[in-house]
Amino acid sequence: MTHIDHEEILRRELRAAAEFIEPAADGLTHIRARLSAPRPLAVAWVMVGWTTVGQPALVRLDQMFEAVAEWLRPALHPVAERLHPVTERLQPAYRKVRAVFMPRTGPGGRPSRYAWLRPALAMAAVVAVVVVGSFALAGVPSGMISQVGNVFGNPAQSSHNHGHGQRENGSGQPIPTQSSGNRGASPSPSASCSRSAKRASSCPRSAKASASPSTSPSPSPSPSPSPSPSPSPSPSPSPSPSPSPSPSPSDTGGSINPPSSS
Amino acid sequence: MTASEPSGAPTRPIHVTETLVADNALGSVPADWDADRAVTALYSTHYRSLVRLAALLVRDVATAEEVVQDSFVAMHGGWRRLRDSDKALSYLRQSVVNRSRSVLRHRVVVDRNAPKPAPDMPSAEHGAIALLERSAVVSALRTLPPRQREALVLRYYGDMSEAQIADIMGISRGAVKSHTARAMSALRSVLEREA
Repeated sequence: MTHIDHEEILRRELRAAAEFIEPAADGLTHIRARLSAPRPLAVAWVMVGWTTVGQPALVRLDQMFEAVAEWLRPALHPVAERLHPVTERLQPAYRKVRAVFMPRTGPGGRPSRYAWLRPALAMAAVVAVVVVGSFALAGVPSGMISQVGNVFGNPAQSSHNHGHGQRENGSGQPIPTQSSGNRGASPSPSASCSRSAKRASSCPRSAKASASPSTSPSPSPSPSPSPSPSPSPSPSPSPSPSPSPSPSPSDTGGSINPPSSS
Repeated sequence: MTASEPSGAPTRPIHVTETLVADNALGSVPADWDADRAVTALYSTHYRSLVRLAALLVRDVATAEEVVQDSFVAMHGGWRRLRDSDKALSYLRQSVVNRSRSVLRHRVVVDRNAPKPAPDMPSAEHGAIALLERSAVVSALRTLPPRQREALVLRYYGDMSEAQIADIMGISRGAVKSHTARAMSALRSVLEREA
């Protein structure tokens, strides 16, 4: 009896045992149902937040805007009346400018000589917006900052201090700041955010496991949230879109056919 | 993969249809596929074999299906982070083994704290386990430590190389050899009886 024989026996037995195992044919349906199912607890929290905070805030905001408009209307009416002569005077100039930039026809039915200015101005405006936007997004270049620093005094000292992250004490000795060493020790919110983002796929499960009733007592912290959270005694705020966690074959879009169980 | 395995026995028969299909070409999906499509393709090709692998590890078909479905869901969620789509099957296998290990660990705790059932009342999963462990070898496999059982199942049911097993189990090749040898020596008496 060699070692090879043992391997063969074990392989044969394992395969024979596995022959009896036949998974159910609706496995893909289950998988797709779990993929398409909403995160129940998160949805319940969003619904609760919307019904308790979002909708009243929206209604109050609307009422506030109406009140402000009503209050400003009599105040702005005299101003508009005073500006009326000015606008009347500016009307002809505006019409002239508009006629110049109208692309279709000039005074004699011909195309205007300045019709090309309109697309050119449009292109210039787009370029200006892109340049300003890129500057705003990327921040002001550091070279420009240093030049401005040179213009407005003591540039060397400020750049030295910023560059090395050190301050000086009274005798001119550099005081090391705790910028790099302390960062790891202190609980920074970015670290926790990245960690949570890293585990984003497991978030609902962890939320399901620890339903954290300490944050607010209003929604029921049960792991399977009932679709009508109704956390407050407000008049029936439950929108009840019913995030049914039970997988049903009907809610799986039918592009995928489960394989035949042969 | 098993045929080209350098350390494997060359005379070993290969039943590609029933094994875990260790060939990466069959487990790979095109890189531009989205997660839904990849899940569908991998499901149609490998779901059954993965369920069988999990069932040999956890000794329960329903739990095995749940484990494999969990793995598919996890792969779908991490599809964008999966750098190499060729390794989707490897990811699935690793996920199945890890989740099976978690199930067994959880089951140990549950069994330790659960009250003893009446002797004439078989549990719900008793039938499935009994069906699975008709063979004396497979029931003897149950007595092995989990790591040794994983190594044997991956080696002799999955037809995987030692490197693949080491990758899936997260241990070195030497540890795989050690687990396999110890498990085989523990099963030797049962295997000789079967022979």
